[in-house]
Amino acid sequence: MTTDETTELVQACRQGDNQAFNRLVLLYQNRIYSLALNYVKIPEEAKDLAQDIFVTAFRALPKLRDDAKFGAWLYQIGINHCRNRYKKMVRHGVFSNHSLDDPNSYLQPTKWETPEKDLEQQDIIKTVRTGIDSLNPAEKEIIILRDLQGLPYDEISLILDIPLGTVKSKLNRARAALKKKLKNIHSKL
Amino acid sequence: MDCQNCQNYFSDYLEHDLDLDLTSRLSSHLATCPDCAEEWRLFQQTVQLLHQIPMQSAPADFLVGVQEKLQPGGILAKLQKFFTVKPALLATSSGLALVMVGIISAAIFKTGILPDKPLTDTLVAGSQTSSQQTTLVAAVSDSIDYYPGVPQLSTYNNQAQEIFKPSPLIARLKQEVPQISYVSTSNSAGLRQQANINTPDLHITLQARSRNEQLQRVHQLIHASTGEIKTLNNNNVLLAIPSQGIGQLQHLCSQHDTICRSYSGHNNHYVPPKRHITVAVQLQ
Repeated sequence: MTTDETTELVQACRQGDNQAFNRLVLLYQNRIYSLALNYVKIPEEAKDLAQDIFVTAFRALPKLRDDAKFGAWLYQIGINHCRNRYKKMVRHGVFSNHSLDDPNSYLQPTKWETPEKDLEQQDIIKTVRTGIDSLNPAEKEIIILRDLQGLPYDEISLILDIPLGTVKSKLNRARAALKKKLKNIHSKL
Repeated sequence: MDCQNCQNYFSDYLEHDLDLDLTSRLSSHLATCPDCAEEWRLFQQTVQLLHQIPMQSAPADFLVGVQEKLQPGGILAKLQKFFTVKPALLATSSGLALVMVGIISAAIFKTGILPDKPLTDTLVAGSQTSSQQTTLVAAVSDSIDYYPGVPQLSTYNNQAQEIFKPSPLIARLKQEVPQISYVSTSNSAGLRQQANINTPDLHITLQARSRNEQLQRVHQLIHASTGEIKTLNNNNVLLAIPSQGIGQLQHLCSQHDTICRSYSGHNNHYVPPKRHITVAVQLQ
């Protein structure tokens, strides 16, 4: 996916081409769905949340000032939706009863060579996710955007509306905080 | 470079985002500081672990769901979706609604907001300040008949007043009828039968001093007329005579102490336009 391709699709969408919007959804659906899943953890809830994000984006598209920044803009909408939904779910005590061992949990680790390795990897991923969840919201957010979503610094800066330097320093602090939380894993590796 | 400064640049160092001077200073420090070197190792490991977490794929029907949500839905569909997603809210709101209905109902009954008298009475009672107004309201209340054809309650209050007009049929039955109500005949098998007869056209009452005199008069009637005896019992004779024989019968009756009247209420000389006239004779 290139910026040019995204820009063309956004322009077509502005002109009423619904297929262009469908194409944009297909381009970004995995990223947005993963983003939502990192917040709400329940697949069905994440699906609903991610769809709401695209619906909001479609309706707010006329307000987008720079078509080339559609990705960052979509993430901005996504982060806002995720924050609100996460707060609401915390208020309703959803996460107090939710376990990562739940078979309906969001974890879908990739398959490894052997079942033992597979299980071991699943455990590690669970522990890392638990570590991420235990970070404060700002640290968690920047880890998700940078290390799980792989977004560049400048885009994160746009999404979170903070200076580039702040992004870097926050990311460094977030990674250091996670490193401390994962000491048990490090000793096993 | 001290240890704290060194660790603050770990992210940038990892992503090769430092200038040459900082990079060389940090490398030198890591080479000489085992604590920072260990922290650096762990830091790298942490980021590697993060990168091992796979990105989740959206469900296959994701786009379809987005399109459905973009379809304009009515308020009913939105409410349905809202309560489908939040069944607990539906249960709570239903319960609260029931409680509110109960409270409001109790308050209404307790405070007596609802009238316990008929509306028309209330209107009339409330208008007693002005006689003119009272008249007007009473007229209005009388003019409104919510159930046409059904007698109003006030009709029943006056017991002496006749509620229902007697029907013509009832009035006719109440008139004096002859004692003769059946015709006794016998069929070929000799069995006696009883059948209703029509109302007699003429009713003759024979007044005699004794029983023998009565019987004598009856015999005279029977033999004088060319009629046929339909029935005969103790005090009653029913005759069927031809229309032209009515004059002879009237003449006979005028010679004795009789009361002759037609049953239909006309005078004695009335002859119904029939071939045969039924005459009831009663002995007194």
